Amino acid sequence: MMAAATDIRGAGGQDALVARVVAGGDLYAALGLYAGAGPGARAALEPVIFASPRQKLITAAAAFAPASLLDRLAADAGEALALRLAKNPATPTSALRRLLGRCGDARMARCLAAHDHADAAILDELASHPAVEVRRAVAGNPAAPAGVIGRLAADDDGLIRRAAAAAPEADAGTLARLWQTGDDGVRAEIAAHPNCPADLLAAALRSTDARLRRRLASNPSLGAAELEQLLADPDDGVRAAAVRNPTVSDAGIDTGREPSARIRRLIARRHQLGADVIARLAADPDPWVRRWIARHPDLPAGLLARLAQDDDPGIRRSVARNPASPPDLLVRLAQDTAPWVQAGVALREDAPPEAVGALLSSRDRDVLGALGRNPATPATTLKAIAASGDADVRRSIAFNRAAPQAAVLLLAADPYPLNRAMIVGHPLLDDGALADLLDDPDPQVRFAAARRLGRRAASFPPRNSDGKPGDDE
Amino acid sequence: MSGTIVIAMQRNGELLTSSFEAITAARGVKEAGDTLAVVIVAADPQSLAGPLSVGGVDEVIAVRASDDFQPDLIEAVLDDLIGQRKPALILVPHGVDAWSFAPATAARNGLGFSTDVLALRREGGDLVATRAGYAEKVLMDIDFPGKETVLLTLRTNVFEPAAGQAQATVTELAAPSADIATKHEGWKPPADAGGIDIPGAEFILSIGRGVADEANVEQFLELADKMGATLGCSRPIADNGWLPKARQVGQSGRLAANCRLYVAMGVSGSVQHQWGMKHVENIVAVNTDPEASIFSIARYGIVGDMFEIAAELENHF
Repeated sequence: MMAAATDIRGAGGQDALVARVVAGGDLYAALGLYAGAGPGARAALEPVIFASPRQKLITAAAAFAPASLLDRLAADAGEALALRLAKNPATPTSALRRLLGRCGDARMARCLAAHDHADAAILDELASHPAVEVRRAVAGNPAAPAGVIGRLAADDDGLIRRAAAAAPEADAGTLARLWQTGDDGVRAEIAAHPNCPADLLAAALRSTDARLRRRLASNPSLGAAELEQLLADPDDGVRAAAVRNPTVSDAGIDTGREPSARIRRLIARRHQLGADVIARLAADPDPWVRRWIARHPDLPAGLLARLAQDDDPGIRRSVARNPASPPDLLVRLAQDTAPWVQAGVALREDAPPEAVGALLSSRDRDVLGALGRNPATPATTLKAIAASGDADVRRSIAFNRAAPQAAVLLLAADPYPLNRAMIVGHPLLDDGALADLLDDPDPQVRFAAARRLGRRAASFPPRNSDGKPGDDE
Repeated sequence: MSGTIVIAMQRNGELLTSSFEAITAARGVKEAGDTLAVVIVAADPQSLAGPLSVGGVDEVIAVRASDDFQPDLIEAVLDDLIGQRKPALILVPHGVDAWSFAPATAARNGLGFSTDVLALRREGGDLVATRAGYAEKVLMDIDFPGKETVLLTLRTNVFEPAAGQAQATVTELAAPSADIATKHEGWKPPADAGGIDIPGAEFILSIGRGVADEANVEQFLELADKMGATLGCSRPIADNGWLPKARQVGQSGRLAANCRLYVAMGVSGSVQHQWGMKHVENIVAVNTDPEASIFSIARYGIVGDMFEIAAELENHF
């Protein structure tokens, strides 16, 4: 066991913390400290982290491992270690480059080709790989540059050509070539591509294939005339895609003539709507349309009040979550018969005290969980929530920056490991409680506590030689 | 050794559907001349004997006791019946009740035994039970050579509940004396889920962190509604208050106990979430990260954007 307390404040604070973690020999605490540690501390922590081949494998696969540590591991990685590094989304580009030189099998090459941190040089090299799955991964990587995509567009494999047609960097020339040789799937991707040449957009617009027109309707480079035509398309799916298109202007949307409730629902989701459209949608017979429009931030108070009396609790919940809902409406909704509507009010930090007060006697777990997150909830209620018999309700305290320290400390001693892991980040959790969590039986708690303590230690200014705080403290 | 005994289960005097499923399973392997008896232990067993007289049941054995679940008493009843009637097969619905008496009964009486059985058949007159193994990755056929009596617990929602009136005789059996080691303190009903039934849902569409924003959640509620699915979620969504906690699937949420199709969209697949759904036979995962853990347990995987897939699904419903 480690020492019970570690004073992290002052010049030697971080050293003491590192010494404690090194003495304890815990991989997860060492990983937590590593990211914020200086060169000396890192050198002391590395023997703990690299203590065994198994620990190296765990670290190589850990998405929370610091990039610099993964880079170190890549320097002399064997086959198993290299594969884990190639799969790890946190592995930095520099490490991927090292792994590329020792890329033995197609499986690892595929992981490198699909990696978010693979740069143009890595992708350029892998685009010539003999294994089709590697080339497919390159074509599907959004970082693949135009030149690489141009080469892959000539590949024999149909899936590669389809991925090339959807690649963000595919240029107009590549898309034009692919249009000539591709199948329906390739053409659909080209029709949706922002770099699609105008003549191909026109050809797609004339197409009798509704699937092609659906993809075309999602293209953000379409002009107003094309969009107007697609908004009047006889196919529901085409009109739906056109309504979703962020470049469609509200002037082009005619809710009055739209027969499909599905399309009206999509219209009600849009942010930029005129007052008359909002009013019409608020009176729509379809409850999902009303549910969507009830969340609209431009909904006037009168319509909000009307929708707050809708029979459908889902619509009333939407009103409760609408930032435009006035305080008096929130007070009324806090007394709604449906707990899910009440929970919508309980989540709101701007809820008036009268509304919060109306919710304090609730026993519903969603209402309690929402109150637990809300800084406007009284401290006595938060303490009671931290002592709830429901682990999910108790956890809400971890998300509340205004939770009293007594509640925070209760959660730090919670029997459910996830709750302890979540409270580690709370600003009111003191150094002593954090240090205790370095000995927690759960690895994620030890990792989080060490990381937090390490950051805190690094943030404290050095103390004077007499041990008193420096002038800046 | 001949005949089959089914142990019917009740809660507060109401028969559980799994009791009728066990009757169907028993009828499926019943051999000519065999009798099928159903045992019910309850405060008023006679009132339950009529409903249990279905689907080929020959006899209902009524044991008058409390409605409170008492595993020691059921063990004692079974010990008596095994001694007196020497049945070839005993079937019990699989669940927490069965766990507390079936293994002990099988061990003490030297019975053939298997739990969570999915299918039953006869091969050359011998009983063969099928159950899953290795976290549902394989199916195993189990036989019981040399065992005169076999006790099986049956997975629920696999066999159709028995129906159709039968002319079963009703036999009263005095409750045997039993060394009672546990005490029933009372019933604690599950938290009100507001009509949301994750454990009972056969088709669940579940969303995770990939949904990104509360405003996007409604879209998946709507999609689930269209598809006839129950919307579930991973912990962060419920923690944020974007969906009721009753929709949370996982270790601190609900178990997708009866789910047959689980579509996970934007769910990474943490160990805690998998606890609630990895047993589902058909898991479809949609995630932008090809290395997401959810793909390791999915039958079908789509590496892609959940919103694009959702928009495409909307075209089909």
